[in-house]
Amino acid sequence: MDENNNHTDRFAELCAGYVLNALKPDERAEFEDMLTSADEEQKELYQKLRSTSSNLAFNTNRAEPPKEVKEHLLQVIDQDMADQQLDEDENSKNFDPAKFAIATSFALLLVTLSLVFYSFNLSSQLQTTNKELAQKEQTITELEQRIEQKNEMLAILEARDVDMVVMQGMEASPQGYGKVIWDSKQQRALLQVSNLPPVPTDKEYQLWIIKNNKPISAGLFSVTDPDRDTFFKIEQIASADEQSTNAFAVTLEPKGGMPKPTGDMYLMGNMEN
Amino acid sequence: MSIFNLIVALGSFSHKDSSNERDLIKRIKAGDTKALEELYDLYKSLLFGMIISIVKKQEEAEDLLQEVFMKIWEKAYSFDEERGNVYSWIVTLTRNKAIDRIRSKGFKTQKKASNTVNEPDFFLEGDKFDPLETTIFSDRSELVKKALEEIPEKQSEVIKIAYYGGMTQSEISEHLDIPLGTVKTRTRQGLIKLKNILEDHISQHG
Repeated sequence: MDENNNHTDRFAELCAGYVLNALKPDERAEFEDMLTSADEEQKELYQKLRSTSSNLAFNTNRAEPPKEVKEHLLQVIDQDMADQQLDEDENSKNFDPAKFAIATSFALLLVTLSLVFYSFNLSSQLQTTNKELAQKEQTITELEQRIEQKNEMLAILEARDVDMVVMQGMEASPQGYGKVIWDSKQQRALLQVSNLPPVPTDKEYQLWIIKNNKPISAGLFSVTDPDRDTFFKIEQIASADEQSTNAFAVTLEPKGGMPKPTGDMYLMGNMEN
Repeated sequence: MSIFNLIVALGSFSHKDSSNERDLIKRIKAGDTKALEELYDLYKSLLFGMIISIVKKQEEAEDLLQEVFMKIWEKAYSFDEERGNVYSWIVTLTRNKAIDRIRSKGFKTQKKASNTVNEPDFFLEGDKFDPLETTIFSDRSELVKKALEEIPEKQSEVIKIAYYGGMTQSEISEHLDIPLGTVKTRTRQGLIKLKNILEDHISQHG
């Protein structure tokens, strides 16, 4: 109980000093601390003593300040308002539409350049792709042509009656060899050659049918890639027939062929019958 | 008139702001310099008197008065006029500013002015005051003065020195050459009596 009374007395004592702003800093802190845990009665006392204290101001001897104080105050405030206005203006300057427009333009320029560059890239990529595609298409076309050729050649082999002559390499190409398979009914033949050297651009190989000991041109062919150019289809080989044909031969002739063999003989094979 | 209404209706123990004072604060918040001017005219002599009684120097007091109104101008936005009391805010603000000034190091090193309470170095009162304002303040002033006379002189003495002179209780103890505990006790007893007298007066006249 005594402790409670002591606490209450201490509160009232500090409170009176506090509302008069007459406490030392440590006491002021102590009272502010007490106030946070004060009960309703104590809070009411604080409120009332504070009111009492501010009423004391009415007993102050009034004094008239010089009118310069008011004038100066209003000047300072006008200046303050002007400064604020200036600040606002400065702020709005920061949002200068021209600067904003320049910044935006620059950003747009960057974006545009990026897009141009990107589209440039895309277009060159597209070009490359188109080129590649064209190449592939060409390759496909070539392959298709080749398949067609092969199919035609196979068709010759599929014929019921075919004759075959094996040709051996001659002096000009001892390693070379070849075959002529022909379908006399359809009047077409299939020529297969191996190990023939590639021909110079101004020359071609010419296939000859030796008939009754006379050579008759049976067609021209070129070997540019010895690994690939191995089969040739020979059309209109009507003049070849089992009875009169003695042999087949391949010579190297000027481009376009010759009526009679003039160049070196590369392959030759005799009919077996 | 706001202050007049306030005095007439001393129905409340604490000073009730008139709607005028609240309006002034609202207008100040909105940046109305005319409102600050009106508030200044309403409070200037009360506040200037308070400041002078504490700092006791004309120039210092003028400087402080301007500072107080600058502070009101700057801090009005944070003042809730619906909840707070304009009069208490301004009076407390002014008094604390004056006390801060005399307790500042720079001020203390200056030669101490007279400590005589309620007798500032100079006193300007007279026909410069707005008659109505003077009447109102006088009424209120009379009430507080009477209340101070009703309580034991030893108690009113420490309260006056503390409030009007801005001294701390330790300084009062030194100044009056009495123990600090005595200063504290007299302050507490005196202020509580003052509170009761003011409450009684209000209940009688309210």
